Amino acid sequence: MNSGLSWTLLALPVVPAASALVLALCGGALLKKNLYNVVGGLATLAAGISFVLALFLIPAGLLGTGTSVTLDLGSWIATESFYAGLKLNADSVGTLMVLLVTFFGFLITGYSVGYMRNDREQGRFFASLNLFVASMLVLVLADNLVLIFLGWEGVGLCSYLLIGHYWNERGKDQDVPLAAFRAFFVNRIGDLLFLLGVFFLFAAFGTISLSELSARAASPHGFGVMFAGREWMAVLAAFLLLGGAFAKSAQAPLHVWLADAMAGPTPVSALIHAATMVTAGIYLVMRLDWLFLAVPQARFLIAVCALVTLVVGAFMALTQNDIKKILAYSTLSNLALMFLALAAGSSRAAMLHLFGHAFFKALLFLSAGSVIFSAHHEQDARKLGGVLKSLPVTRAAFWIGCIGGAGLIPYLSAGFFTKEAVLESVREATFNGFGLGVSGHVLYWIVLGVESLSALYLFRLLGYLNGESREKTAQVTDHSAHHGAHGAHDHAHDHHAPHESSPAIRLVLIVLSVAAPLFAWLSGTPKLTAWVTGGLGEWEPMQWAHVAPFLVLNIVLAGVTYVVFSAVSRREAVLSALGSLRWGGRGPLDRKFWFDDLYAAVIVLPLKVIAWVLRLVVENVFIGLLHLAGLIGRGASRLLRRQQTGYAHHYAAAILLFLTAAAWILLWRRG
Amino acid sequence: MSTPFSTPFLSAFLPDLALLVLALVVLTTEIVFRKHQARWTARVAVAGLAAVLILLAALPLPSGGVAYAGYQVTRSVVVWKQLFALATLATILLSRSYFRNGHSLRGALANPGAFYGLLLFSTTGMFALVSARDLLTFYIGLELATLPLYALTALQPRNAGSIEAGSKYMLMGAFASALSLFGISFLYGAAGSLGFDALAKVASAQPSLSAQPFLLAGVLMLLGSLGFKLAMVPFQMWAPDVYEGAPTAVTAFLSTGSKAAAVAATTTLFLGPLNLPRIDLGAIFALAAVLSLLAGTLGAMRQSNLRRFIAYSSIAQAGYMLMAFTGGEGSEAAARIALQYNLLVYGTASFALFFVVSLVGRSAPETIPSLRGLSARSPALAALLALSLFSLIGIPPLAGFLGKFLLFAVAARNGHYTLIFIGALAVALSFYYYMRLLKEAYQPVQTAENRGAPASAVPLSPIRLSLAGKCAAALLAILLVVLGTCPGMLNFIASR
Amino acid sequence: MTVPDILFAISAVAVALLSLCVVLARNPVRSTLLLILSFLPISLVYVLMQASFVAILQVMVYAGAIMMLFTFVIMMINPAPHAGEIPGEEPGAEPSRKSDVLWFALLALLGLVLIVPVRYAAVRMVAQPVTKPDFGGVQSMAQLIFTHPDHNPLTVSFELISILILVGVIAAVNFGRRQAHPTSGSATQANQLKDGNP
Repeated sequence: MNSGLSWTLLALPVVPAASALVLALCGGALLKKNLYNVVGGLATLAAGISFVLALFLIPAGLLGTGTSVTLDLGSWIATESFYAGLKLNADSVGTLMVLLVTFFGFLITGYSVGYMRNDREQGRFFASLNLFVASMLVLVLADNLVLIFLGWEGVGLCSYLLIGHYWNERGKDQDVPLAAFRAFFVNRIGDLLFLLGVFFLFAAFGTISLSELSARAASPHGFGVMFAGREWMAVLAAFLLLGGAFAKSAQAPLHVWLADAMAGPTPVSALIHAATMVTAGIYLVMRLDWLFLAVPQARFLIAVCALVTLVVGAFMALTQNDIKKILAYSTLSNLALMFLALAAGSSRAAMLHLFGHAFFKALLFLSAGSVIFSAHHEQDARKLGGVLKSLPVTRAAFWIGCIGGAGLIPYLSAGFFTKEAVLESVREATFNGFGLGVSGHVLYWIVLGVESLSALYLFRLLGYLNGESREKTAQVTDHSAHHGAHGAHDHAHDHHAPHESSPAIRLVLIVLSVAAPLFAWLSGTPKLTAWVTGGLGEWEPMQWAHVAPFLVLNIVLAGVTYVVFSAVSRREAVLSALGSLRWGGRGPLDRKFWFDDLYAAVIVLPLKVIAWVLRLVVENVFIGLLHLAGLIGRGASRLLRRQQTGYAHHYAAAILLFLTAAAWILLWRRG
Repeated sequence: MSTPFSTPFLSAFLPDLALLVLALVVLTTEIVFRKHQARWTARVAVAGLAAVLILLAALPLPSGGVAYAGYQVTRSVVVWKQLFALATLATILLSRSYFRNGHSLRGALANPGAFYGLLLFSTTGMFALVSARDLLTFYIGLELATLPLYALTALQPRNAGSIEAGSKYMLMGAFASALSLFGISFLYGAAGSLGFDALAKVASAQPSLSAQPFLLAGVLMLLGSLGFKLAMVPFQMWAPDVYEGAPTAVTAFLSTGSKAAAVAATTTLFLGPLNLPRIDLGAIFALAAVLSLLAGTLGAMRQSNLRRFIAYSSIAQAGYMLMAFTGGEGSEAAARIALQYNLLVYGTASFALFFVVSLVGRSAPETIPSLRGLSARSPALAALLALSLFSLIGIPPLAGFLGKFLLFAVAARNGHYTLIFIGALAVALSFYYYMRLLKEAYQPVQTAENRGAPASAVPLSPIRLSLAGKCAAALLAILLVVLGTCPGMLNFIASR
Repeated sequence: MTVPDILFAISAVAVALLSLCVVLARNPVRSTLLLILSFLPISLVYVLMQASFVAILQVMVYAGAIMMLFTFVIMMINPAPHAGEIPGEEPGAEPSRKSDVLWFALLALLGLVLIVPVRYAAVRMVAQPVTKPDFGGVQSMAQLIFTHPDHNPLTVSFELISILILVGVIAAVNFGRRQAHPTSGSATQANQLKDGNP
């Protein structure tokens, strides 16, 4: 039943979890002895072991004949009507996700060794990072929704911990704790919806095992038998689960936390808020594709929300000056692309873009991290003019990332074929629901247009970083000010000329710079695409005629933007020309499309009102009742203590009294 | 029926025989070792008990069990025995430091051979008790389990309280023993035999309990004697006095091992031959449960002495466990699983509590104000205390919650919703009195405001744990969490 | 009323009265002697129940041997220098009589109340004389204890009793035994045991 390979599934999350435990318990002691590299090294080793183990899954999980690797560890929660097993399952989708998580987990943990090397709280950081990898692996390997929920909560917790990593150091001016809390709170809303969704799914189908659910969906009786008068429950479950997925994957209206989450260290943004965790919602929808295929309204909702997110993300990315915020908003719109593919019913396209996005976005974030690290945690792109010129490796990586993200060159851009696949799937689908119907063609052109903005914002960023610097002198003072602000560490740095800092950072950047084009080439090769998407769908021949306008438009946009923004004078001329469009700081872009105001009105205000009412009631009624109960309790307690005389014969008498009383009760009941 | 010395016979009775031999060996270990007698005796006892536990776990048992004369061993019996052996093991580990001077304000224990020997004899009695197949073996097992405890309670001779407690316990125990003998003779009169089978046959043939007054008298008297051991109201009055007077380790054993034995005995009898379908003993059990919850809760509320507090808390816990006997016909298996799980959880939490008490009691009287500042003296210990108390209350992620849930579920089978409501109320109230301990532990010490204890009596020196102590604390904490988060454990118990 | 009935009634009343005297006597020696005396009517009840062997044992072992030990021990430790005084109890520390009287009244009431169900039961149970040969004799007792377990179930219990007696001896020896080496540590006050005195 459980072969040797099956136990790999257990080892996958257990190794990083054990490392997390060790680091949490002994990390502080190791750091006290200045064993900084041991802490990071152990974490990297654990993630690396997981990655190597994941490689062993490839033959059976991915290349096998539709079979999957499973490990059944018996029951976890078992009652008469409810069963949740400790069962792990790696089918093709699961294996892909495992590979993704462990590959990026390994690389980025290694990167962090360099990035975090002067941080005094590394123990906590690496413990959380390892715990994240373990939780994420549980999430993607779990065979039932309760176990998925365990991983789901685990990654949420780690995300919270890591966003708040700089809670005391740099947090004061950046509101780090608030950012972490916002991320946690929004995710809690999603978790609640997810859990309710699981309940309703269980009520509708009587099982929460993914394999059982999809086996039933595939049975010839189909949904008619499955739903059996409980269709509304299944539909409700689909919507609720969607809520959970939206919160985790930052889709409107639950997207507001992702930009704030950039308060965490940059490797965290790369791993959790770009490559892996934010794709959990997409993974969930992919896992339950049979449900969403049967509920067209849900797919319509996905399409609407994804479209909103796409637009919001792309436009917000245009206006940001913080490097990480630009990338964060770009992540939003890319996640929206994946959801659009899911709405179109193409898990294959979603999976493909999930991978492509992971590659180019991780590369972008890590290069940005290298820039930020070299520039002493300066994140404002305007102040970092020309910084890339002194960082050759980072520059190359940034270029490859931007080309990949904007999808400029086929077979070199990680995002080219994947976006194309999404667009194709959207074009061929129709979206119906709530009495509305939208043709895929309409959507196709909208998405194509909005997506072209990615070339704009990415090359605008590149123009800043690789172009002229505005004021050399201002830059220097800025740096020394920042340098003084955060700590006595990092003395070795030369303030005047940022340079490549850590071999770990450089090594990871080089690996990813090679891996991303490699993936791009893979994604454009039919056979290999089928392999990459794990048999999620048939390969569709590339429609070069459709691709051409996309390609040309993007190249032109990217070129023009780069030229404009790489020179200070041109940049400022364009910005002042555009300034008149900003509605005096109250336009949609400055107010983040009013989503924060929406939250204040819909969630914060009602909560405050409820809290106020409850406080009134509690203070006046419940506290009084409590005092009364306390008085009664004290009186009774005193009475009880009276009979505790300490004399044995009194005790014996009480026993006889009770027995006689019991005898009489029983005799009385007979009569 | 298997003959003596056949394989199934041996595999069933070997643990019991081994335990008996161990008790005799431990009694005489003192003679062999001239130095460090207490340490060596404890070592021998621990090693032997570990061997007994391994025997219990490893020896195969035919699915129907093995029976010989008035003695039987089934799978559920083996689970009970494992619980008893675990409780004894924990008690021995807890008691080791009490043989050293300066580890308790109450004075050091002496006579390690007698102490550990009596403890093991008591465990032997519990083994016999759950294995009984007739009333005589049952009675002798009950006596054998209880008799050593009288002497153990009085085994702290420098302490007058200990002797008073022992005497009181023995007096009440003799009374309960007389009750049970009287009850057994009535049952013998009703059934014409001492065997459980004959008893079950006669009992189930009756239209109602009151139609057979001899049966009624016998059942009630046995209930009284078991109620005494359970510390169920109104047979509970000895508990606070004895818990307070006994040496700490014995108190721990009384509230865990002895309680488990009482529950096991009640299960053997009242979910066994006397589980009468047409007789509603459930009402009596429900009444006793309510009274126990009430008395335990009210008693614990205003108690400042930790041992008396634990006594009342254990009375309340007995109240919860009594709910399992109200389930009526068809609930036997569920009730047994609920009780065994609960005892495991309750025992773990209790030992965690006693572990903390024993460390605090080194330098301060065992009172609730002595806990003050514990979080500053040892954060780990305070956290363990919190885990233990949360588990005793029954806060969800911890094991106590599932235990209470299972008990309530059994009561719900028979529609005792009022009882469940009262139980839930008691849980809510238990928040108050358990949290008092935690409040003290996490309150910063302000010497001016220490009303309960004078400033000098609250030592603020950090508590350092030995390596063994650290391991024990970690093990207890892990158990408290794992038992609650892996309810699959239940299936393990149920499959036995 | 047959002759056995009358004999039973007499011995029952005698047992009850003598037991009461045992408890109420203030002098331990007197108590012991009264206890020996109370065993005699008990053995008469055994005879009436056809348990002649047990009756003989009752007299021989309890009245003859064990109670003699009791008497010896009591005489050796000589607990009551002055008649009518209980050792260890200070004259002033009498428990409150009022509550005792209340408790006794309650118990007496209970006893009266208990008569009803017992009487009710006695009416419904019809005693049958045992017709088995050698019932209550030495041979049947031995068979019950020592023969093959398939025939009777008391073998294990019998062995367990021997352990119980051993444990009783150990417990008795150790009950409150003084230590060889006195240790540090303070004894709490015995009269603090009651609730309310923290």
